[in-house]
Parts: sequence; C-alpha cells; structure tokens
Amino acid sequence: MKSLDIVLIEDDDNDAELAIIALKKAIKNVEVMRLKDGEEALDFFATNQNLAQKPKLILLDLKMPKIDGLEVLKKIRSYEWVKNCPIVMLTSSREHKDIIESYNLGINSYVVKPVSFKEFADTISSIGRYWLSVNEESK
Amino acid sequence: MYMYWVIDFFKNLANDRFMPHGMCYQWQPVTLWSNVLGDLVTAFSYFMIPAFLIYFVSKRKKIEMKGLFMMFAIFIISCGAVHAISAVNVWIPFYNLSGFMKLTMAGVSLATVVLMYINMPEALKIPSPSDLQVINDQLKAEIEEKTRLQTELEQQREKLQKTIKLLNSTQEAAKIGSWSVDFATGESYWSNQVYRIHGLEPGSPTYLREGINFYREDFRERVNEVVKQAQEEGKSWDEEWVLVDINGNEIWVRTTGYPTYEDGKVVGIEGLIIDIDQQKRAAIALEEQTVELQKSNAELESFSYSVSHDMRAPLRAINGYAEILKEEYADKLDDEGNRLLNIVHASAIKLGELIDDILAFSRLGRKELTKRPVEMVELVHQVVDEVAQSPYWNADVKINIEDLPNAMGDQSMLKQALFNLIENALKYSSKEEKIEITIGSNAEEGESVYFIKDNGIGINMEYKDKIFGVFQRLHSSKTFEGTGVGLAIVRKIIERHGGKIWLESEEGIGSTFYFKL
Repeated sequence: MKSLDIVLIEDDDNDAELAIIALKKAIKNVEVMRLKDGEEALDFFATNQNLAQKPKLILLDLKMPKIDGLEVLKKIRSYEWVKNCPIVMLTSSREHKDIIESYNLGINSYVVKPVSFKEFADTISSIGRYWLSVNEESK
Repeated sequence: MYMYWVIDFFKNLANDRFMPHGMCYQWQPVTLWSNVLGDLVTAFSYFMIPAFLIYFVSKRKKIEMKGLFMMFAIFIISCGAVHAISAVNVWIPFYNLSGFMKLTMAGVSLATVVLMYINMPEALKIPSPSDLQVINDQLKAEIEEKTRLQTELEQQREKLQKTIKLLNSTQEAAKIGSWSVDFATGESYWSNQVYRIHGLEPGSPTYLREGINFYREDFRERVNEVVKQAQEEGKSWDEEWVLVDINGNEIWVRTTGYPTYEDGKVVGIEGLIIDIDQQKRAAIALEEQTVELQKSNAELESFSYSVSHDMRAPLRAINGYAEILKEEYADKLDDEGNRLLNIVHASAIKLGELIDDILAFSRLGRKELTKRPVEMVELVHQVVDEVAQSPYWNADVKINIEDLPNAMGDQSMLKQALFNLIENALKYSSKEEKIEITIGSNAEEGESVYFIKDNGIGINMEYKDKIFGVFQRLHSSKTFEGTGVGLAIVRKIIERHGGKIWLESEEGIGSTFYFKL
C-alpha cells in the first residue's frame, strides 16, 4: 500500500478537483485522498487509525454541510494517531472569528481560497511542498 | 328770731348807716371810675367766661370732670357777682350783700379747691394736647405702616397668584404634575396638570385609592409596593408606569414619590407625575427598530457570509477550468475559440474582484473601530510603497508627501482609505505624461483636513456625490479598470470615523479629494 501524503476534505467537487490538479502539478507522485464531506472525514479518522495511513498533511475545508470544518478539526485533534498532523484550513471566508477559532483549535495555517486558480494553485502547492518536506525530515 | 335776722339782713342790704364806697374815693372821678369800670368790666367778663364754659361743656359730648368745670363756672360767676356789687357799692352801700356775696364766693372757691384736690390725680392723667399730638403722630405712623404692609401683602399675593399661574402653565407645558398625600388626614392634593394627565377636570375629588386604580392592572402591584415602601421605610421612587386615563387611553408616565417627614416620622408622600408618553413610545419604537435593524444586520451578515462561500466556489471553478483550458488546450482551439475563452476567464476574474470588494465593503460596516493615534506621514509612506506595485505606476510619477498632523483613528481602516485614494489618483492620472500626486493637509476651523491632489483627468463636478456610491463609475472599465467600490469604501471608512469627505475637481486639470476625521 502506498503511503498517504495528503488528505483533502472538501465538499465542493470542483474545488477538490482543482486542488488535486494543482497539487499533482506541483509535487511529483503525490498521493492525495479526497474525503467529500465532514461525515466521511469523521468516519475515516475514527475507523482507520492505521499509522501507515497517517497523512502528512490534512487540507480541511471550513464550510461544509452538516458537519463543518471546525467540528472535524476538533475530532482530528482528539485522535491520538493524527493529533499532531499538520492541518491547513481552506476557506472562502475572511471572517475574523472563523480564523481565530480555527487557530484556537490548532490549525497550522489558513488559506483563503482565491478566485484565481493560479493563485490558489501556487498557494496550495507551496503549502503541500512545505509540509511534505517537513514530514520527510522528521522521519 | 331767725326770720328777724333775715329780714334785718335784707333791710340792711342797703342801709344808710354806712357811707357809699364812693366816699372813700372822695368822689374823685378818676379814682371812682377807674374802680367802677374795672369792677364792671371784670364782672361782665366773669359772667361771660362761665357762659362760654357752660356752653363748651354742654356742647362737648365727651369731657372729663364735668363737675369741676361747672364748679369753675359757679366760682367765676360768684367772683363776677362780688365785682358787680363792688361797683354798686360806690353809690349804694350794699355792704351786707357784698359780704354775703364774698362769703358765697369763699365757699364756692373753697369747694372748688377741695374738688380740685380730689380730681387732681385724674386731671393729671388727662394728656396734654402736645402729648396727644405725639400719640396722634405715632398712631398716624402706625396706620401708614399698616397700610404699607397691606399693600405689600396685596402685591405678594398677586405675585404668588402669578407664580401659581406660571407654575400651572409650566406644568401644563412640561406635562408635569405635582401631588401630595397626607396620611393623617387622608387628604391628597393634585395640581391641575395631574388632573389633566388623568383626563380629569381640575378640581374633581381625589382619593389615594382612586389614584392607584388609574394605573394599568399590571402596574398596580408595583404601585402599591412603592407606596408601602415609602410609608414604612421612607424610600422614594422614580419609575415609569402605564396609566389608564378616565377615557381609557393608555399613557406612559414617569412618577416620583418622596416621603415627607414630621418629627422624624413619615406623614405623607409628595411627588411628580410626568407625561412621557410621546418620548416613551418613540423610545420603544426606536428599540423595536434597533432590534429589527440588528436582525436585518445579522441577516445581511449571514448573507454576505454565504455569498462569500457559495458565489465564490462556482466562480473558482469557472476560473480554474478556464485557466486549465487556456494552458493545456489553447493549441486545440482556433483564434476565435481562444478569444471567447479569454473573455470567460477575464469575466470570471472581474466577478471575483467585484464579490471581494462588496464583501470588503459590507465587512467595513460591521468591523469594530479601534481608534488610536495614527502617524499619518508614516502611514502615507507605507501606502505609497504599496501603490508603487500597481500596474499604473510608470517611470514618471512624482509623489509629494507634505508634513501631516497625526490623526485619531483605526490604522488599518485609514490605511485602506488612503490606499484607495492614492491608487485612484494614480489610476486616473495614468494617461498623463508626468504624474504628480500631492498628499498634504491644512487646518480648517481647528480641524485637520487631509487632501490628495492629482493632475489626472478630473471629474465633472456634477457627479461629485455620485462617485462615492457603490458601483458608481464614471468611465467604462475599458478606459479605467475598477469595480466602482473603492470610493464607497473610502467614504464608509471616513464616515465611520465621524468624518467627512469631499472633492474639488476640474476636467482635464485634476482632482483634489479632501477628508477630515
């Protein structure tokens, strides 16, 4: 089984596809798993618990139906095996309270999804590269 | 024997055993007539004086010691009789009669003396005319003083009535009534305005219980409570209640009550009742409006939140796929296909900017203002450095930054405003060969006015207000790019600081934007 690099939790299919395109373009052979909403994410983190499957980076969309990013974030931080996983919050929101709450719950950084794909691709790939390399070094 | 003596006496009234008194004067005319005339005139006077005395006494209704006066009269008459007989005696020697007269006079005078002695203490009490004058003067002065006081009292009374009238009209105008209750007598006093507030004619009978029953049912318990507290604990109150007037109209009133004391005991309550119906209803309406406004603000907030998410997501998709198309499929499309694709891409970018700007604008209204001293020169330098990254910046840009006074404001908001203004100045000057922008200030009525002056295309002053509106653009986006939100954001920032923004401009010459905080 191939090691998992990035888990992308994103309910919007287009955003998810574009993010994966951007990541794959920037990082060779990157393995990205997409979870399509909060429910699926909680399910994944609750049942998997396989250290081999531990992602090197979690990209988490803030606004999702039913179970939102903040709730998923809380849960992730409560599971021992992914407790220290770097998490980057993805959102369209520039609301101060969301950003502050996300940081309070332990995200590592925060990306406001721009309309421009180029900008989005640049940001998301540099974040991906950074965290993957940090994880490689610590191994 | 006795009879004989009397007969003899009268027989001897004129007897010639004696010489007439004239003989003593040897009938010398001067001696004789001087004596006779003296006696006669004296006698006449002595008869007249008592006549006047008696006349005086009889006419004067109130006179002290009438008897003494009469005695004086008799005494003087008897003296007159003695003088009269003396004159007769010159020729006819009525010496017996004369003696008798003298004895009578002696008796009368002695009686007068006795009577005077008896009456002396009383006579001394009779005030002299000068004493009377003094008393009279005093009395007069007292009367004058009394009259003066009376006039003064009258004036005071008039003043008081005027004051009461004024108080009544003041109370009427201010819709304030005053009232009091006396626990001992159970009597209560209402000023005219209190009656009016209750919808009653001034002067209708009032009782405390009736007063309480005028309040709407849900307030009565509270009314009873405060009255009881005032009575038992000496507590005063100042509350707003709803009163139902005699016609059934509900009126908001503010009532105050203060216990009144006598010897340290609460003996009553006095207070005011103020018709605050209009203000209260306005305040309630305002409160409702505020709640409504807060609600719609919250709705707006959630609207802009959902716009930022839901509208941007499909836009990102359009833009993202268009970019991928452009990058990877450009060679598979012909020129027209590429042109159309470029339009799709540019429009998506444009719409993204618009949404971002609207969200920024709406966020501004909700963002809390944190005012701190701001070093404006420093801030302008920072902004100019950022504006220098703009595509409108060409080689020939001259920026003059004058000395600027510090401001009190929200640094990040002011930075945004300055950025928009300076970028605007640059943008609308970008067609000039040499761009010159000046950021300066001047004092106007003690307030600092900042200005940003350019030598750009200028604005027709007809549109001086329009340009601050959202989406107001005077040029097509082909001539000058932009979303039309920039100046609206500037105005919102300045207005949120309680300031003002305006401009002076001439087409073809340039524009100067002024603002004060």
